[in-house]
Amino acid sequence: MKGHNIAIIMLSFSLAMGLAQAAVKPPTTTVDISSIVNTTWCASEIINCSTFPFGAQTYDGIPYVILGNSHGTANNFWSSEIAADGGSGTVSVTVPINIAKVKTIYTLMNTLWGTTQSGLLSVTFTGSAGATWTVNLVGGTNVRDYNQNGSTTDTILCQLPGAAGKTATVNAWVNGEGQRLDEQVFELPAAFRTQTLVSMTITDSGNSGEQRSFLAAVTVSTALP
Amino acid sequence: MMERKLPILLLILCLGAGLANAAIKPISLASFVNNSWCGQALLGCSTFPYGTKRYDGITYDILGTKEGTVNTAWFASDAAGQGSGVVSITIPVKIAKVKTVYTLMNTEWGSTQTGLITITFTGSAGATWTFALTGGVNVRDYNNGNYTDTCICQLPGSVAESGTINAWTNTSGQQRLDEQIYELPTAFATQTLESITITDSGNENVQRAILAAVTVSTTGP
Repeated sequence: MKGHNIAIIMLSFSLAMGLAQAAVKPPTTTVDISSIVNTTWCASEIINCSTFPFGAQTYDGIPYVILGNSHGTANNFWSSEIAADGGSGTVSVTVPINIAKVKTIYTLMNTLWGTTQSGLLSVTFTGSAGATWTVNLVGGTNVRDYNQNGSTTDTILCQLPGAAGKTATVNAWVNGEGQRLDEQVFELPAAFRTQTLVSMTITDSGNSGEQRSFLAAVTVSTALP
Repeated sequence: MMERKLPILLLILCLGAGLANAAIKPISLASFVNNSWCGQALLGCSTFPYGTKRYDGITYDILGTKEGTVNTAWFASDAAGQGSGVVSITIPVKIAKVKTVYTLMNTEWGSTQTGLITITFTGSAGATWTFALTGGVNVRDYNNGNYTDTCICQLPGSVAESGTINAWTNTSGQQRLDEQIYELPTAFATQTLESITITDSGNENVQRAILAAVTVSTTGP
């Protein structure tokens, strides 16, 4: 009788697993960045700023929340240009996350201006039990100028990571007038799977007129890309 | 005794079904491939991949051998005898509840003219979906040069949509394979995907499709 019950319990578990595997959308969570946003699309004189998105959006099948409102009175994004007060020098921001067993992080990130010089922009992920991963984002590979103009960075890798400890970038949004938002996909190293992802830190060492990054949204997932 | 065996059998069945749900299955193109990378004189042909490969997290089987003596892909140009005219292939799939189809497809030459390549998915209970691929949006010239060098560079996002991203580039960065991702309309979720038909209406020095691999999945992209 006991063996019978165990088999029934395992049967129920297996059915549930089967249904879970059939689910279409991965278990994603949008991350609140309201404590770090420092400007609006139009206050930052983003070209065609009124066409830029805000609110709940889905790009490449991933949900995002971009802050802001239709009046343009609420900040939309974090701009390293604003953080650096329009000058030179390194600026950084740490986004609190505090979600367990994250496998993938999605960001909507672009740059003002853009250069292929490496070492100007990095993202560091920090786990609760000591795991850290720093990714250097290179213009023209991992991130583009938000404005297609032919003179800065108009290309991206255009693929998915493919393995743990890798990152890649695809397009998220275009307005058809030459402006865009890119989606960076970070597949965390295996060590993070047993830890809580505490935070991610963006460090920008660019300069005004050269390259300055901006972050519009962050979403994390406990599934692979 | 019989009463005890039944739940165990059901358990095995359900575990199997659970695993099958997660299936990503490469589809054999063995009966369609009509030339090798170097037989077709592709630029950088010796650098092109073959065998089991993983791009963007998806497994593909690309036919061929190291010696280049076995056909690797379906070339519309060869199917048309290097002339004009419409050519097509219908690839049998016969897998139930497919949600996503992945292809490795590029073109020789390339044109932004619409209507030159279509792909049609056919279900067992009448579902069909035809998608027209446009050069420079859904598919690129395999060679980075003077034809179509851009793609939409994004994933589908919802059912009945398609996206294209890069799958492979060689170390020179000049030759590539693109990955098309098709998120099938909802109707296919309850049917068997019977076949995929690719139709090419291009021409020499205009655009001709190259199909290197097809993989299907019962999960979303």
